Amino acid sequence: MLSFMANRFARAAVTMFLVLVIAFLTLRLSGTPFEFMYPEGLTPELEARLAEKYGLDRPLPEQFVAYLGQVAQGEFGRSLHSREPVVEMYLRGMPHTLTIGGLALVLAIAIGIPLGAAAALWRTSPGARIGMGIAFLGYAVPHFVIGIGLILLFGYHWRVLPTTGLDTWKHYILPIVCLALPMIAGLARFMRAAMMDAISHAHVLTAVSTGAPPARVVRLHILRNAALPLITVLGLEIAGLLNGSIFVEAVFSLPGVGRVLVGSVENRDFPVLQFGVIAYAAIVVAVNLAIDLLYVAADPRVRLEE
Amino acid sequence: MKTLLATTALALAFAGAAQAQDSLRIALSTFEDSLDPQDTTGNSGAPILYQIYDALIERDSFSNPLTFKPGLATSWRQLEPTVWELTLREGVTFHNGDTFDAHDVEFSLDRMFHNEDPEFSSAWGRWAYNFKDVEVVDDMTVRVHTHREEPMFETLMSARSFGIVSKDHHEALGFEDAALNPVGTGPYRVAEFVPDARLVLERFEGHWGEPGALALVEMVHVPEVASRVTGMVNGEFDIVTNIPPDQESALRVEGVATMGVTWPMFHVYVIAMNTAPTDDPRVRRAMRLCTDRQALVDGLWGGKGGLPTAHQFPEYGAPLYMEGLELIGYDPEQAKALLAEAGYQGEEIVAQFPGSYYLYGDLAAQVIQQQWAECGLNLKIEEVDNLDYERLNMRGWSNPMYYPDPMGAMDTHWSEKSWTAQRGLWTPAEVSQDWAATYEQARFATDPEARRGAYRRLLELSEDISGWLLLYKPHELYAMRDDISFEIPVAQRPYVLPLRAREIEVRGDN
Repeated sequence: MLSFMANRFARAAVTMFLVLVIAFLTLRLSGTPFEFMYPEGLTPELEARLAEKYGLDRPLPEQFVAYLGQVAQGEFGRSLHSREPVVEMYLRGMPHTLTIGGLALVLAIAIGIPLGAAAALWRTSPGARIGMGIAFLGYAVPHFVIGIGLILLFGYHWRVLPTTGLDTWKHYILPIVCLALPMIAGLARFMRAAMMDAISHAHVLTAVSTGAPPARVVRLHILRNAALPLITVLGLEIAGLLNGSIFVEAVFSLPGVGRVLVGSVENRDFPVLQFGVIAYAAIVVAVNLAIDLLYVAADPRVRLEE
Repeated sequence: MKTLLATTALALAFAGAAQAQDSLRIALSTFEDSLDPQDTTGNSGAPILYQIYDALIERDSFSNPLTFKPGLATSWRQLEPTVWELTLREGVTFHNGDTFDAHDVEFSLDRMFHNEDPEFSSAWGRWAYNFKDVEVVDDMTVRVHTHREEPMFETLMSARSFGIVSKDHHEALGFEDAALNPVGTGPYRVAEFVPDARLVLERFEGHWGEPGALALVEMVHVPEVASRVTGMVNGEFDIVTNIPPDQESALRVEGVATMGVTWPMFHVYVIAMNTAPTDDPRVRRAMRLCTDRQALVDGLWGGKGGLPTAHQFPEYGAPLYMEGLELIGYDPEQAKALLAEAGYQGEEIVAQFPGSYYLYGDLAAQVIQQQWAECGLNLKIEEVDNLDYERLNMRGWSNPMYYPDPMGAMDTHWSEKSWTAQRGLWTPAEVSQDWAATYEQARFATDPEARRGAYRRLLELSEDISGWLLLYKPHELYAMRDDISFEIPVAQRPYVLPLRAREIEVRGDN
């Protein structure tokens, strides 16, 4: 068990280092950030002075070593634009992103999983077929299209819900629904497939033939087996939530981290974007690590394969 | 029925949430992430900085021709050609309680005049390069020294980039944190500022003149047009900015009024004067002559954009604005003749555009590509991440009128200090021997008539030889509650929102 965990942690550390290198290099090779700071025009002289001031005129290896040194001390620098400390910018947005994302996840689990399970158990009924058709649509339509659609319907035409910011509880409804819809669809489709797979196993047929009550068969023999791969999918969905929050925060003008990240891409704000990429990768790596560990707890065979 | 009731109840709850008469919620399409008047020079800062900072000399915001009034200085006079003495206003306090005096003036302006820190270089190059120093005579008197006699002294001193910050506040917090916690002497104080997202302004009751027209102003950054339109219709905002003309019909709802404005600003192409085939003045002139701007104005802007006739704006007023001056025309036949004379054989003219920064910029380029093809010009449009100045023949840009004077859009964009000249794209002085001397007159002559005459000559030369192509003046809409009204402050730069005392009317009967 210990060597298994050490192995996984080492892999995570290597991944993070690679992310750091790639984030650093790709940003610097993509051009300078200063043209975007002065859309009204930038003289080569000013560009050179700014590069010197922010140390971007030094050789790349030198910049990278300096950056590593800072990161090791937990120092991620300040935004080139607002000159705010980078970590502060993300910390300010984090509660909003977590609230929206967390509630969307809860909503998606509460609706998506029962929906998928029901669709599998009553798979021949027209209702299940229609439901899964809608789920497929929800899965295929991107967040920003759903977002604009919700805004047009609930904000513009019916004027019943606010569409920008997070001032009152009503402001949370549309972003959460927008973020949750594709996830509900994804979970429902996955749950249905996992249940169908579990149902087709021989032991289910055996259980049914022993005359066990259907509810017991579903609970013990189908749901349990279907739940295991669901852990992986939930992990992926959490990572997907971060992607979704980028669109949802832009469409609904929410003050979360997705918006900070998008702003930093638009402005090529190196320190902000670097931290964003690294933090994002860290979350994905941490979620994967947690899933690996959960798997071990849930399925002892995983450990044997190591 | 139940659903209908619930929906109605929700709608009523929102109607009740409409803003009070004394506070406004404004959605801006672009925002700022720091609010230092000498550092923040772009268009996005214009609606914000005007509320927070005062300059020594102020303009009557609605005057045309331009008139001035005392700001943080109560009087000023020219002692010598290059020295002005200003008497400062007594008893002025900053938003944080600091007392205003000559040292704040020296601190604020010298960092821009001296151009030592790159952060202030943009403002220096555009407004302040002829300013030398602030001399503190005593606590309430300063002398401003210029390198050469400055014919636009008052015009420049009243630009928002000459706004005054508190020296003590800056020295206590440092430049970075002071720009995030802005403190000025203006009619509104900053109650909350979240960079790039949200700004809350409160009326500053301690203002030396009249405090702001409103008790509370919340400005929020809403980049999506659809969100701004919906938020306006939905009662979430009281004013929204930068609505493209094609969205006007979506705002035709009860309780919402719109106001169109054609800004004193040209969308332009910068044509590289140093790269073949656009290094030939005849090719550049042919590009100008072959551009049917009326078609662009009608097709893209619904007839509402402004058609340029010369690089000038009526906002200058008399005597500098030249009524009836028509230097820009559409003449494809002449264009073809010029191209033949230049021996142009359909070589590629490379236009690079980084994303769609300018409204309808991508569409305009495609239309122009078609128009030019008829004259034999071969325009190649490239969407790029980074402009390649070694390769490009043309790029998009805009020329806002930064101050109401011919130099407000000329010297700020096309002087020897501008990036166009510094990058070698703009070299009119090499093409025309008259250019440098004429420019000199237009910029520094002290007699307004002489400046006007020289500027006219400069414009004639420009259409003949230069590396610019004026497209149109963009047209946008403000949408607002129909009980709100204001006029465009024509004496200020584009996008300034007039929220100072008696500049905006909110009747509160919406």
